[in-house]
Amino acid sequence: MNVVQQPRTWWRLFIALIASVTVGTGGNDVAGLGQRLFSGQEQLSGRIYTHSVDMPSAAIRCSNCHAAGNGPAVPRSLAPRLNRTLLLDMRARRGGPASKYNRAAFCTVLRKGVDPVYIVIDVTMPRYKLTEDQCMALWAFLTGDTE
Amino acid sequence: MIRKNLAPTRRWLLGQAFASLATFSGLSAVGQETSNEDHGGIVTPIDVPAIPLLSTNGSLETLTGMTRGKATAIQLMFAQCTTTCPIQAAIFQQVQKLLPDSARHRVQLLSISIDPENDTLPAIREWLHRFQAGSEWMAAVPRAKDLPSLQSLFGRARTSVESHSTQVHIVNQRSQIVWRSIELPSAESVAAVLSRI
Repeated sequence: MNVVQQPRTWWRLFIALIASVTVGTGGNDVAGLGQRLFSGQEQLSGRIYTHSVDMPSAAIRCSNCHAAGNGPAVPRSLAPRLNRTLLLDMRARRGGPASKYNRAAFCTVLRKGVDPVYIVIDVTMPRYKLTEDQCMALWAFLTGDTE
Repeated sequence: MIRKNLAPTRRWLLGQAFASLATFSGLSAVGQETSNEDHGGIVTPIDVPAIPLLSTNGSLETLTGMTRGKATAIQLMFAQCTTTCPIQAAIFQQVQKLLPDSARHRVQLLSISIDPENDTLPAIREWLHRFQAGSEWMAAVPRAKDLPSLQSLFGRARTSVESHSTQVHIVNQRSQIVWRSIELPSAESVAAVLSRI
């Protein structure tokens, strides 16, 4: 009986170890997914809001227009660099009152094109069909916030 | 009693008939539907000037010559543009697919570079190839000194390459601008207007 229990105990310890490693790197995994979504390594779906069909995913990659964090600038693009400061600082945006993003507001602007103070963003910014996981991953990648 | 019931139906039928006539009359109907200062049908068509353009087949032509005889959808772009140009290209790609076979021989798509300094013929050909341009879709490069004229005609007179207009202009067979889209128009709207001219 003891002979049988011992391997089970080791097996449980092994599972616990794997689980702890997974939890410990969970934030990186999420941010890593965000980085891949941002760069287009993983595809996003979306469209120009005046259109009835989705754009090819290569045409609507975030990195086509936006630089992220301290990464390289996008040549000849006027789109803002997306980082923690831009998203989390209180500041006037698009001529509206001061505002900042949280994850929900970030998801809303990506999905519906409406910013934190209800200003509709430019038509050239696609509206994305994002799952909660994708949105969380992009937020984590750009802000470092995995909560 | 019966007459009274029939009257609205007759009025409705007449209305539908006039609506159909307006639709088949082509551009004037489009103009009436959407015309305003910024986009829609252009009440007094604008003659395109004979601006010299280097076309992707290597020949020096003029905008007038390139547009004469075919309904032409025109957009501004540059090959190094990663922001709106891939979306503009995707729109033209989709327009190609939407055009009915009956219209293909009388329409064309023209992407005009606003970056003559960098857009060499190989660069512009590669750009067309990258977006699977078919035989109806061509590109052309102007001289730098003609950019202001082109921006004035098709680009809301913007001077910044980075914030160039993404409108599509439709030029008729007589080389006149007759319709102007919203920014990043749907392929359906461009194909519909092109097919009706």
